[in-house]
Amino acid sequence: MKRAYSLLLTLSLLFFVYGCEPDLPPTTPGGGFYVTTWGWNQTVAAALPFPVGSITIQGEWSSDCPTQGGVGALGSPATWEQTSTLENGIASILVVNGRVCANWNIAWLTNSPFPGCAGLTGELSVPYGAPYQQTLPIACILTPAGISGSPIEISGGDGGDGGDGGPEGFTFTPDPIYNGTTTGAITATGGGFSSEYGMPLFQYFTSSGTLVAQATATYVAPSGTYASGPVPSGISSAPAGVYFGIISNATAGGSYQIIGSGTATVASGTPPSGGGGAGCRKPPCSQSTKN
Amino acid sequence: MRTSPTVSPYILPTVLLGILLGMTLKNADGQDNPTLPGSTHYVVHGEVEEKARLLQDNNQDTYRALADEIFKAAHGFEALTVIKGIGPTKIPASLDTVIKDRLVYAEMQYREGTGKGVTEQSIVNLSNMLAHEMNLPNYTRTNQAQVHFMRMALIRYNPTFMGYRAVQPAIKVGESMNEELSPLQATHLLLEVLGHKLSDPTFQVAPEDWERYRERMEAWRQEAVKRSGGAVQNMLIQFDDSKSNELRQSIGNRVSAMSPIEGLLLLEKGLDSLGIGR
Repeated sequence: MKRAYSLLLTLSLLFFVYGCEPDLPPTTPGGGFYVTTWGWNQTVAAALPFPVGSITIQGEWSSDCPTQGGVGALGSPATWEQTSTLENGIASILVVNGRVCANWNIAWLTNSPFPGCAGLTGELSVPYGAPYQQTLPIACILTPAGISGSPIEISGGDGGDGGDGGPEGFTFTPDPIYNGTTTGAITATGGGFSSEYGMPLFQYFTSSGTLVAQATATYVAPSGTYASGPVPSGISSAPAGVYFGIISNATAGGSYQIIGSGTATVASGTPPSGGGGAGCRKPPCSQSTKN
Repeated sequence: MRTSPTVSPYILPTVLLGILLGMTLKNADGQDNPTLPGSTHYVVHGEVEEKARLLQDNNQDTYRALADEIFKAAHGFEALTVIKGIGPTKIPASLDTVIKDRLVYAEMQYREGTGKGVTEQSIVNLSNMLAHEMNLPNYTRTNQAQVHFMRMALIRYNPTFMGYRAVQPAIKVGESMNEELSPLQATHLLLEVLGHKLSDPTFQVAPEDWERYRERMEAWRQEAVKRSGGAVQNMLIQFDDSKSNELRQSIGNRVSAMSPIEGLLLLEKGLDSLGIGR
């Protein structure tokens, strides 16, 4: 009896020591894939995803795809942690013999390109493919809070705290601008504003490149990071939609030089009561609205 | 010695030919022993903008540096380059020199007022011709709205470079911005359009669906911004790469079956698409 008890105890200990380890499949040749790292600021209109390097990603094997037509998962299920390198515009990680046709739990460990990216986790699906013949793009995106989906087909991970920033050019506030409100101010936030040779010019174009409205700024922040101008009269006749705002500084020669652009959204009517219409007259209005 | 003022319309087909020859002359780099050295943080086309700021009249070296950066910039060919060895950075050195020399001369002529520019519609024609010849799906085709959208995006990231002569000084409400681009601007834009068609799921949209798609995206963004009260969050996502994978396979197969002569024929078609006779 005592012997049987000892055996049971030993088996229990062995199970405790080894039984908690994930049941990894055996390593085979034939794996390997690339992971590319991206940033994307969805809080501004018409922003493009951009590659971002020096991002450390950790991958932990989760499961294999079901065998289909006699073809199963290949490669190594070993955990990896690597930092993306940027060369010729691609920020990528090479997962040597990484298991393909498998799901990986991944973690984004670097706090870039936006504050709040570090610690995000999600699942990476690696479909079946020949070794090193597929890239898996993953992105830390900045998105309005409380949003779990997107109109495009993406798979989400856990949310973080968010943050400002990203190379997305200039932003306009209020956002949207209501075409029923013709008073107040529009503030553009970015950098490089100067009133040295005159006030900057705000110009609003349709997506096809037609100028719908323009106004000269009436205030430039001493830091040059934002400027405000009146709501141009042309906004009242602009249909709802996304417009491209181009900002130019006056030059010594009397002309203008473009310093940046961004998207400005025009909505129909007037802002809902208590909403952020174009009623902000005293800069820095933009400071109160996060991107 | 500079080329004649009529050279600039040939620039885009020349770039196209360069990329195609780069495709046909590619080696197996990146397939058996892939290496990815180097590591820095990235700003969207930041180096292009920097080189544009450093342009000096009559200093060819500064224009050449800008041309080099345009070909190195992250337009979206990167996965195709890593996996298939195809892309603007894989153009054979001798041809690369010829293309960039011609681009530099054409750009300098344009800025001096003696050379022609390139229209947005020419970029549309060339992109669609390429999609047709490569037998690519409908979502790789484009139109002027998409090209213009991408041009405005580039102005956002490269205001010095892409903003140059984009807006006429005395433009009035109701008038349009300059439809013509400089040769180097057009090359940057062409590569950006092609690259995003290759790799960006948000741009892999058929031309006829583009406006509806953009409206849907913007409506979603506005609703999200309204509901969030201005607060933001981060998310980790995996892009849907299925279309890009499909394109890489198609292009890889088409290019491996293409001879240099076929590349030249494609160039002739490119000239036709720009309205240039044989």
